[in-house]
Amino acid sequence: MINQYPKVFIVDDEPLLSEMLSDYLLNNQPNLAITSFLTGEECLKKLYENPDVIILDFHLNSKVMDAANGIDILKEIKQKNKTVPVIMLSSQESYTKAVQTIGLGAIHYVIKGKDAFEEIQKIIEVNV
Amino acid sequence: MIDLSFLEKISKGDIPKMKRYISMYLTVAPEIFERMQKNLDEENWLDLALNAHSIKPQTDYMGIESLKQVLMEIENAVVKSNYTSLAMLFETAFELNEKSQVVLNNKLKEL
Repeated sequence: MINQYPKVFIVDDEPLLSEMLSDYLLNNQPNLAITSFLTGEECLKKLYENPDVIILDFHLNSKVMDAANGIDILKEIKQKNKTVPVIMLSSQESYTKAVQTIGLGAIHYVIKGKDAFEEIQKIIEVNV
Repeated sequence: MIDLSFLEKISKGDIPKMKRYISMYLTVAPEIFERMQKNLDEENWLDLALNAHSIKPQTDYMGIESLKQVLMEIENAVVKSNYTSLAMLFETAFELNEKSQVVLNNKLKEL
């Protein structure tokens, strides 16, 4: 059965990025139900809502210094829900980090930048 | 110095939305530069790189290419333990940020 209102979680400690990404996705797919979180911990508390996809930033502790980083949150998400697709978002063009996140269960590693929004939207279209 | 074409594309000509994005950037950038100054004073190179890293994509969205390049240089200098260049790089980044803040504030008034 096709989900009429796919649930998308965005986890990023920079509200500007979350808001721009959320607006972009809704412009292209208005039926998405998007929730944004500033920390991974906040996202973990809402995992029971069964999101259809999670967009997770790699570095989550630029503001809340003791916040867990994206890799640790990815591990916890996968422990609690193996099937939810997680798109890892990072500013680092790092093959090693990309391999690490895919190895931990992320479906994609997207580099933050001008092409990221379109890329994420296409991944969501295919996976949700 | 600033190319807002990406913002225009993303906001699809929605002026209030563009203004909101610019305002959000104008709020967050000085905070991050303040933290970077503190990191530099305390020789906390790792956090300096982390803060440069965190604002880098946002400068990209605002089309401030010159600032993005210097932020990348700061990150690279920390990775290579080239700490002696950091004060000068930060000064350059700080000045570029000050100038871009003026341009963006003017843009806000024009919109």
